[in-house]
Amino acid sequence: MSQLGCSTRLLVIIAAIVAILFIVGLIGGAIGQALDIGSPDFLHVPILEIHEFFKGDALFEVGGFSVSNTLLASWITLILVVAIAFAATRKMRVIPRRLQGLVELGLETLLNFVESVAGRKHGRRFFPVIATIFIFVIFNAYLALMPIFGPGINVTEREEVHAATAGTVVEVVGREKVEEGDVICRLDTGEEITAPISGHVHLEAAEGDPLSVEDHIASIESKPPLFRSANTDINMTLGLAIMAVFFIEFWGFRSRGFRHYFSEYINLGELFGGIKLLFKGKVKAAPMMIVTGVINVVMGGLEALSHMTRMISFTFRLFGNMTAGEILLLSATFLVPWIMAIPFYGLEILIGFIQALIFGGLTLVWASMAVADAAEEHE
Amino acid sequence: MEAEMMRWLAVGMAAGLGLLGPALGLGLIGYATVQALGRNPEARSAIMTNMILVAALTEAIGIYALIVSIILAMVGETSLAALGL
Repeated sequence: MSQLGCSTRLLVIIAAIVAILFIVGLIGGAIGQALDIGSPDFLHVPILEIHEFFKGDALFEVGGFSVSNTLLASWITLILVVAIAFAATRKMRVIPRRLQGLVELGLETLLNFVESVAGRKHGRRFFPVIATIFIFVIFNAYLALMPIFGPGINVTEREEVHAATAGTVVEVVGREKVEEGDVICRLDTGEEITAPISGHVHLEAAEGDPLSVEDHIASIESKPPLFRSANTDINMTLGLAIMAVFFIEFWGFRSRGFRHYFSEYINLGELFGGIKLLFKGKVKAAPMMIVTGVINVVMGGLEALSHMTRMISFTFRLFGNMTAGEILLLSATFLVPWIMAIPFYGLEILIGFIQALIFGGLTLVWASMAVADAAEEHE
Repeated sequence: MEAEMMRWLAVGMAAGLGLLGPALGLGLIGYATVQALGRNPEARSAIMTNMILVAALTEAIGIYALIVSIILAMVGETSLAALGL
């Protein structure tokens, strides 16, 4: 039977707090602002932008290499993981105490999982790569739930657009968001004024306005967030996928030998054997062998193709889950600010763990399939 | 139909129709898992591990459909203007 676990009075207090937050959230969020019920201004929650970019927004350049906000986030993950590992291995004891014990617990669980799938012989060999993938992905996913990540902290950039020559405005851009190089307005002299950066446009000139030189036409503002989850950057997931596929092939080559590993996918033996039989004159046995030969070649080719599509599927699985989760959280916060995001945070925690497990687990399963059959031969 | 209308229709249909398949697939996986658990409750850990693995593979297909609709929705105005729409 289920028990409440606390006194009724405490429950009433908690319920009252949640109800107040719910009403404040409703009034201040997008629903309340749209209903226009005359709520006071200080309750209004700013309506957040949803940046749907595949790569993170570039923040600054260091010697020609542009640093994006997702790169900063992955650096934070790196520093955090290294700091935990460093702190846990200071003054190691045989009977571990707090931090060392916690880290040992995590690593031992991972090692058991890896060995349960790959067997004792290969488990230790696969463990570093699989554990790295798992820890990196899960730390990235959980750090993205911190409040400092995402549209909380912005790096605002503002550019003013001035007229270079005089003229009358003929046509003005109709929408709010512009990309770099978009035409903002056209003058009757035929000249076009383009946007120097991408972002939101606040127009000061209207159609038919006469302009003189150095008149202020518009100001463009872009507000990319300072930190953004590294898992939402397709470059990071692609990098992890390439590394995972490379290691799978590498372990396969090491275990089975170069030729033998290839022979599974480029399986031309039976086909050529069948053709040779045909030339030797054994017409009866040849067609059967040729048919099975062709089937073998096609199957082998499909297997090789599926190897390559693993890279794509790894990339997009992680990227899609994390980006969809980020958009989901932003949308939930946008609708009813304080309360509606709570169940979705729970969902995001679960999804982060599962995606890390899937990335590492699939690499593990495919790696153990690649090194298997070393002892068993087909015929 | 104007081009704008077709574009938004395409965005919605790409996501909606594309997610039918994975939804059906995940339902089948759940059905098989529950059946297997009913027959052999002691093999719980092996069954659940495999279920999570296959479920994630199936879910990834749905994510691909979502990616396609996001790409369609995000096609910038400049690209559309360049295409003459």
